[in-house]
Amino acid sequence: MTRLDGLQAMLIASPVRTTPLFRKSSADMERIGRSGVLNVGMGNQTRVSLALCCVERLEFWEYKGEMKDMTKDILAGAAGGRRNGVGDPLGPNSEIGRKLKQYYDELVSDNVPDRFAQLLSQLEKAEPAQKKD
Amino acid sequence: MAAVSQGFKTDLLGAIPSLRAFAVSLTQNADKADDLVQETLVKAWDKHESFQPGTNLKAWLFTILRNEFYSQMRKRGREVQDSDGIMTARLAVHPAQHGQLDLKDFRGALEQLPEDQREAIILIGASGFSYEEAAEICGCAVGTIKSRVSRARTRLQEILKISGEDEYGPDAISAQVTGTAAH
Repeated sequence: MTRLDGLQAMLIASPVRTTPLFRKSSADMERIGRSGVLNVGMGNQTRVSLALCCVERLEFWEYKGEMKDMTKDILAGAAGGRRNGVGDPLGPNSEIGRKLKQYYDELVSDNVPDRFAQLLSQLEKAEPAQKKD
Repeated sequence: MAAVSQGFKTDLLGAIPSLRAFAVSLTQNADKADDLVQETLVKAWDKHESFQPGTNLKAWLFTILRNEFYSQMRKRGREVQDSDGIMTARLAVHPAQHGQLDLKDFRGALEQLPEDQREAIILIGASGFSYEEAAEICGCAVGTIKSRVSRARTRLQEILKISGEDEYGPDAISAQVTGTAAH
């Protein structure tokens, strides 16, 4: 059993009673929750720390009373792409997932035309702006 | 109106590549996408006060861009789509050899998806948003996003004739070790 499997087992066995590994404020918890169970393409270490974040996240969502749905997401996220459809269907093991990222990364790395920087400079100069309707 | 901070401007500039990528994904047309990004920047600038510092600026901007896209669509009525690569995908796509799927074929397949499914799979599978964030951006329930993503993926697999790859391939971790995930 890997460390991650152990953590998952722990999450499955007692999601409600799991003690948070790091005590954080609600705002921190939310940030951690938002940082995304869906990060894909990560190594073992990352998965383990992600799973730790998941433990915190569980606590947070329990606190928010949105426990049930989130538990499923978290477990699915922590499990990575191993279970077809249940795990991460767009992970690095998925042809669709890889192509999707390749497609998008190509778009993101496209050179940004000058017009946008110029636009922002104009907006800045025009300040205080007339409200547009 | 309070002055727009330098930091806000810098952050806007930094978000432009992602905004353009999302806009192209929505419009499937590079010129329209850039107009949409321009409109988004102007709107964001105008209502910068409604942005809460410390929250996710990218998600906020994506929401504005998406709203703008749909409101333009409504204004124009659903004009005939004039995407850059229109119809390419309607030509036959060869069954993909594992890992050899052409990016052009993929683009064509993506174009065939309904907008709601395309945006969902892009937000989740490419832009790096969580299901919760994507649901906020699209103004719908988390479950709706999940089902759109799942339908989009199934549809892409059908169009590209990929099937059951997850069941036979290496698992995600060994794929990284062997480097198969990189190609």
